[in-house]
Amino acid sequence: MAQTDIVTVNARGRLGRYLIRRTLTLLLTLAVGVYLAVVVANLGGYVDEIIRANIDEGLNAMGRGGYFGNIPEEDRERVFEETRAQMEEAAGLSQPFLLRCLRWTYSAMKFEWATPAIWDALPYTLLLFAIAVVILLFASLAMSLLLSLRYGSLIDRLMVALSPISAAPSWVHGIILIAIFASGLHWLPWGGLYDIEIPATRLGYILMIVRHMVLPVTAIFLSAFFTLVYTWRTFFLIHAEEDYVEVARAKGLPGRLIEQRYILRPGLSFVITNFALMVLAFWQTNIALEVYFDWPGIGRLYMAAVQMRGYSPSMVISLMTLFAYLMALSFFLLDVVYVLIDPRVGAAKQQANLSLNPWKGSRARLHGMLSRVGQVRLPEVNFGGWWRLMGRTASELDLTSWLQAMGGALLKLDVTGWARATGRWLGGAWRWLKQLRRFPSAILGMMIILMLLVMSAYAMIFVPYDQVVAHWRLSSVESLPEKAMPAWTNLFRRNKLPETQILDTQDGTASKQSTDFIDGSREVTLTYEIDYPYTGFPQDVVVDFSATYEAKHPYIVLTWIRPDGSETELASFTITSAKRYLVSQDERLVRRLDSREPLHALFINPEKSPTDAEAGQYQLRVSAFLFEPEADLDAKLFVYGQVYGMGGTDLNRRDLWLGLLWGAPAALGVGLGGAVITSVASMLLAAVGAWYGGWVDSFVQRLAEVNLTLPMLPIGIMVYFLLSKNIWVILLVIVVFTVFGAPLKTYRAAFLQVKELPYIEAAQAYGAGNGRIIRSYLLPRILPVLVPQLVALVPGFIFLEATLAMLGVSDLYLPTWGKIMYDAMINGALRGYYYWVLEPLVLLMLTGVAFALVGLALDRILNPRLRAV
Amino acid sequence: MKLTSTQFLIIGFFLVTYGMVIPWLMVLQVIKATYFLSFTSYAATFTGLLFGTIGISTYFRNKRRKP
Repeated sequence: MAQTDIVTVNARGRLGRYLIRRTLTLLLTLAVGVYLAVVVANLGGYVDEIIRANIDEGLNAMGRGGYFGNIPEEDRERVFEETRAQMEEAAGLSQPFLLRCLRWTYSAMKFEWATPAIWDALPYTLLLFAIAVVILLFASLAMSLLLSLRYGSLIDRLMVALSPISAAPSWVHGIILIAIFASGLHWLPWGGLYDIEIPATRLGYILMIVRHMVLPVTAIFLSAFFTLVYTWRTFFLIHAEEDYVEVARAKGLPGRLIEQRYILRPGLSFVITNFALMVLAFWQTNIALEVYFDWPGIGRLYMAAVQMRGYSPSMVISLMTLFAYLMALSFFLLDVVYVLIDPRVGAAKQQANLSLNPWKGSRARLHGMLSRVGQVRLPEVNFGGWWRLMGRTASELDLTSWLQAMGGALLKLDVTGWARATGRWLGGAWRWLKQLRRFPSAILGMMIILMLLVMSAYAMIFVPYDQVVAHWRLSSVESLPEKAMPAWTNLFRRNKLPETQILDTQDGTASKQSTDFIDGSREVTLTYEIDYPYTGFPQDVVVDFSATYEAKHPYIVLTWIRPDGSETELASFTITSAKRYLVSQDERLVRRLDSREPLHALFINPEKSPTDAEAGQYQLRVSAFLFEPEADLDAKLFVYGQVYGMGGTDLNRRDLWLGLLWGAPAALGVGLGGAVITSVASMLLAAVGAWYGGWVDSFVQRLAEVNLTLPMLPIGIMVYFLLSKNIWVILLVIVVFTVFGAPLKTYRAAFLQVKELPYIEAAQAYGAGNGRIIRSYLLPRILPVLVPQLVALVPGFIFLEATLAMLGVSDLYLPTWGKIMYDAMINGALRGYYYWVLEPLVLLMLTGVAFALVGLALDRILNPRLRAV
Repeated sequence: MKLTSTQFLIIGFFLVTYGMVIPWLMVLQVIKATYFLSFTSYAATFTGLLFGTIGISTYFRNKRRKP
């Protein structure tokens, strides 16, 4: 055999072994992931119920088959129960909990509980996925290549400016698209798969499906396009300018060889990993997308299974396993493709090297993938580039010293040192902010964040939590109009919409006159002057009576007086102590008005306009006859308008402004809290793993790999519906998942490099303990990475909370933007009440985009390679 | 890298086509939706997309370098 053949055979053998090893590793991590999911699902005994149901079904079948027919009647019950006990024993129900879950895991992984509904739904999701990502790939690549050739042009600047838009998940874009193209323009259907009439021909059927796919596909496209274009365009611009490429050119290597070995081989893995991240993010966000587009895929099926009355555990676990399989399959295929691009990935030596330096090779590339798997969506950030260049950049900005000082003092709990460090920190922060000033986008982002902080402070100081929760829990707020638009919309109208007017005899906004009679009775006249300068109609005219009497009910006559002085008797009746009279619901009035809409009849003056209300001074007169000397009557008049306040109102007449205000601290709390906890916990875990190495590091890394295959969002949703209705518990669960995601890998890589530095060796030489080295030397050194990492995580958590809320997973009392949108969507806000859903949506987008803008600017400041582009 | 950019593109095209056609056929109920077909369809789409990315990137680089 020739030497080259031997080399080829050896190389193939190595690659084969590598792929087998990766397959086994992935299967193992998949099994651990599914096991954890089964344990969580079975905490309430739900999986055991599946087995018991199967056994009952089997027993019923045996009964129908005559199995118990030959047994005497008196023994039949006993034999039945004994058979059931034997079957339960055989099925493993008598085993300890964790062991039992292991058995269920095996069943789940074999899809023993999967129903045909899952396999029927999967093609719909795959269809959506395939079409969306194919369009996305070609459009993104074409645009990024175009931009790399036209660097600095108007379209290049436009695309860079638009890149933060893709920080929002697909369902956010979906709602906007539905509002514009389905609800507003009626060009496209807004959901489902079928029209009212099913086409007779196959071509017609295909075209119908295509029409229904346009909006969801576009939503997926928009949620990734701008970020991909920005990242790839930057990659194409900077990768050919690396020093080692110049060295290769100087050595006189052929151009094609330089392209393949020095530019494409290191760069392609970045491009395909980047694309894979986007693809994997699809499996996290498609649940919300399918629910809101009513797309009959596995995402919608999952929500139906979780929310189903009585809960369908077999379906939920099967779908969760399916999600895990799809993600594991993606990782395996990515590994195969890495090997194809760069065969060195499979080599044994390279593997050994990888475990030391996670920035190289296949597993290193996977670290970045975690940034998408862990969160709903995160802005693209090249952490690898950051860290490599962090030392030089940080020292330029004096970041390292101030963060070290700050972190070190905090870690030592040294108050004096902390105060000194705070001074230095402020000085350093100022220098750092000056760097950010160079980027208009960062200034815009910081202004929006400042606005949100002011909003949060205002909400917490002037609208106490108890007050907003009490307001939000009311089934109906009687003083406010129903589904009224924000009052500021009148600024853009020629014909203003009416505002709500409340006139009350008790607060002096209405007059009250009383006439006593000899027999002890009284006539009370309540007069309400209504200044009505509008041509639109009010929502309703309502009178709330409050009467005091002992035995004889007061008698009321209501009279409506128009601006021209003409009068119409609305109603006359006796009242109880409290009564509400609604003009719009008075059927006798409708009959008297010849079936005309009462409000139209009361406000239209046919001589002036047959369709519009007449502007002018109206009057409502309430004449009440009280038959007892001590009797009294007061009444409050509500002329419900069509606009109200800063935010409008919802179906339950709640003031949306309160919800929007309190949404700001909720979003910032979740975003910043989640990001801080994740970053700090990841950093600590990574420091411990990197320093101790060995089994500690391996254990942490294996947990991180298991986390790769776990479908985080479905698990969070399952925990909410099964175990806890507390959104903060769910967010904590997700934070724990995220701790083992991207940040852990990023920090570990950094710690592995710091660990080798001479000063650590010196610390060891003077006898510093492990705890001291980690606390005083490793952690402070890495703090500069913390800030950009933290900023990058914030939008992910903000959108995560909103995504959960949109799926009905939210705090029961506190209004959040996601919860307002959820209420709006399920109550048909997109059928004319756009403000209800768009207001929280805009605030959510602004928040996400603001942090993404600052994150991108930080990326450019801290990564000198990006400064030029 | 053993494959050329054109080969990557051609293989990627066929894989993506398979990955798109199979779900269509299942949705249109021309073929029965199965576990195996669904997974191969997803695998084909995913791999095809990665191949397409590599193919286009490589092709562009090669073209760009030529004077």
